[in-house]
Amino acid sequence: MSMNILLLLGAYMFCAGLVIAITRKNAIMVLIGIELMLNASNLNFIIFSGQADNRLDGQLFTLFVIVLAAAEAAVGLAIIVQMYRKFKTTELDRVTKLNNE
Amino acid sequence: MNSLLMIIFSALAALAVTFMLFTRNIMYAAFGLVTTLISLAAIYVLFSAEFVAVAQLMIYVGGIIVLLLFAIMLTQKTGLGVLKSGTARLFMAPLLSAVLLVLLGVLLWEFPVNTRTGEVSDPIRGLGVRLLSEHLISMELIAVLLLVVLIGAATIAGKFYITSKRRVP
Repeated sequence: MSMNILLLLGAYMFCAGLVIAITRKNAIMVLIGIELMLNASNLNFIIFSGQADNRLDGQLFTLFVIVLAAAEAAVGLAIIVQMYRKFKTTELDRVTKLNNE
Repeated sequence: MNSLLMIIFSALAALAVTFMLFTRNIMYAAFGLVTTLISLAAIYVLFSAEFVAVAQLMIYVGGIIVLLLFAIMLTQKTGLGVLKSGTARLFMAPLLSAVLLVLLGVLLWEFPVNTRTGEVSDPIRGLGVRLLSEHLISMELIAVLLLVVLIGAATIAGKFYITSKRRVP
């Protein structure tokens, strides 16, 4: 029974991350939403790794997802910092050109 | 006891996620993310995935959150005293996400997952052995990827990248 509660929590986290990533204008908030969605998938991997025949597969996948999330966050935040230097804003709606000249 | 702790931590995570959903303040959202990540690490421990829990604490809470806070402090105009994020598309996105959530909930209601009992003996040892035998190539690839990504991030965020204007040959 508690398993279903956790799966529901994963679904809720994914949907909340989706809403945050779509509705917020600030680029950092979009990244936060993406992190939330990745964590929801991690939770599902951990829960279902107890169900599989090979019980460590889910944990291995989760480790890879964590490392990839770290890589994505590093590059994304570097791009946001650089974007702020060029455009003086992090609002995604106001960044409409690739080259601010 | 175990299931009680699980319910407490899931409630904590759900509360933090709801808070993140409704706050406009970027800093508050980052701290809500911290609470969510720590609750998830506790849930991982309860599922006997200790190594993943420690990795979650070290990489997410120790690394990504610090990066996020640095990026917030570097890019927001904190002098005004506000760290607000604007919103857009406030009708369609929550509607579609609610539909998705309801569909997933119906799916869970129709096909509930049964708990399978039985413990893995020494999961960390098994994880290490499999990581270095079966998944060796993926692990090396991801290590190289992380190195390249960190160098690239440092290059992109570095000062010299923007000051090097187009040089006329």
